[in-house]
Amino acid sequence: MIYKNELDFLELLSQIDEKYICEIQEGEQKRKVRIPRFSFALAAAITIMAVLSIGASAAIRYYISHKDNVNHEYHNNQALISELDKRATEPIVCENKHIRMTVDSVISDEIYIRCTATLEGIDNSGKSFISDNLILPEEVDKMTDSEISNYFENNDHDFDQFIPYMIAYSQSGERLTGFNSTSDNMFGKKGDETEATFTFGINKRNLGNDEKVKVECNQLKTYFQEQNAGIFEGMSFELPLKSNFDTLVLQSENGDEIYLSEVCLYENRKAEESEDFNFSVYYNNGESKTDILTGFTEDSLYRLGEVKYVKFNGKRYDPEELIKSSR
Amino acid sequence: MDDNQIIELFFRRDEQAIYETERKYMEMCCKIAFNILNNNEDCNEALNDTWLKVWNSIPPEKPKNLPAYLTVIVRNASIDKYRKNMSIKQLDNDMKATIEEISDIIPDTLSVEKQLENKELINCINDFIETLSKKQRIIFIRRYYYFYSIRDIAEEYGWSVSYITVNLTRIKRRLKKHIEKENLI
Repeated sequence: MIYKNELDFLELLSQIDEKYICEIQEGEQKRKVRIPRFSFALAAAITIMAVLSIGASAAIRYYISHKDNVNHEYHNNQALISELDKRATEPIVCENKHIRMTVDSVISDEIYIRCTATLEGIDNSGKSFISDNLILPEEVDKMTDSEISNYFENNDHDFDQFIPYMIAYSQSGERLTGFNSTSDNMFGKKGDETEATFTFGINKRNLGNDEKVKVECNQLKTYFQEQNAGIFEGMSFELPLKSNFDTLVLQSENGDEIYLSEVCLYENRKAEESEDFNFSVYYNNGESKTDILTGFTEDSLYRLGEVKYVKFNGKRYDPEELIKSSR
Repeated sequence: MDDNQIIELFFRRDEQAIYETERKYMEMCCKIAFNILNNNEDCNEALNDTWLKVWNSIPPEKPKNLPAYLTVIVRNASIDKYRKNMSIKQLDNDMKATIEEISDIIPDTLSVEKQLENKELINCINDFIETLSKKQRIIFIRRYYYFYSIRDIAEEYGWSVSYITVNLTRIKRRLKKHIEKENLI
């Protein structure tokens, strides 16, 4: 029988040490606060260093920089892109003689910050870095698992050694834990191999009262092998922690809490419950919106100011606090 | 109901045990069966076989960890069903891709069947898993024990597809070398 050896091998794996199975199951239970996944895409726009000076003179209107790249990272989620555009502030740019990094968009709610960034080569070293190390072709979203595997098999790069490695530090200089430091895939731009886009994120739950963090850019390979930033030598920027997307805290009768931001739902339940994902928001005007939990809301943002209650796995959660926001 | 209470029901031969097991672990078992069989009808058959086998095996067995015990039974029942299906129909699903990945791990001259009865190969694999980092263990177990697709793992853990694929490729290469080194072929 074809594949007999392979099926025997898979069957044999049923006998692996139970502790490894338990490790996975314990992990499932601990991931109570569900950070929305943003494997290929998600991230968005914000404001960052710049504070709009609204005074006697007219406020400066900013737009998303490198909008094509932001669109790509967010799978052309127009509801989100439109909001990012409205809330855009001056993009953060940092560079050295080789390479320029622009943080094009930031989504920052009470729980998480997600950024998209564009890299552009300035000199030949920077351009080569990008063209040599593009991780995935732009059409990767349409590829099947086996096509992706083939792509990796047939491209002889040590891929994850080259991606940007972003490290955040508190104001007191302490290296932060919980920082999603390894950036996501680097995508190329059709017809232009000197520009690439990628995402990175910060879990805000582990941060103190700092108003901003310092983010240092490193090349993953040189950082670990030679303890230097490689092509990103000397590049860092300050990222404000102030939210640009609102978050609503909701509580059930037994005290379980969930956090609903304009773009995402995060759960933080005390009791062990089934992992069903039935989630609906009910608004004051009688409208409701049912959504899946993972990832960003696809069609429209949640109108937090109008939420009457939400139902999550059959349990009702009522607004516990006014909207938490610092916009 | 907690797992000890469910096991107690099995020991009392109370059929409520099956109902409670299904209620609590149906989703987990269904996910594994479906990952392997990719077909509702076959999946239901594998799950029915699973509940029956659990009913017949507890007692005398008393699992320390009920969900881990269930995963073993459901994956074996599903692999068994997959074997039967292979002989009667053309299969073209994610499981086939998983099997093809597995062929990269097995040294050409290794007959796994000969190793099923003795513990050398599984001990060798356990030793290997122990050498992996926690993230690599998760990737390996999710992919080849739970049969999650790479995209499922990426979604579940928020890691990138490239990160998972690159790690899987390395794990496979290392495991093959490890088996060869242990001279089990």
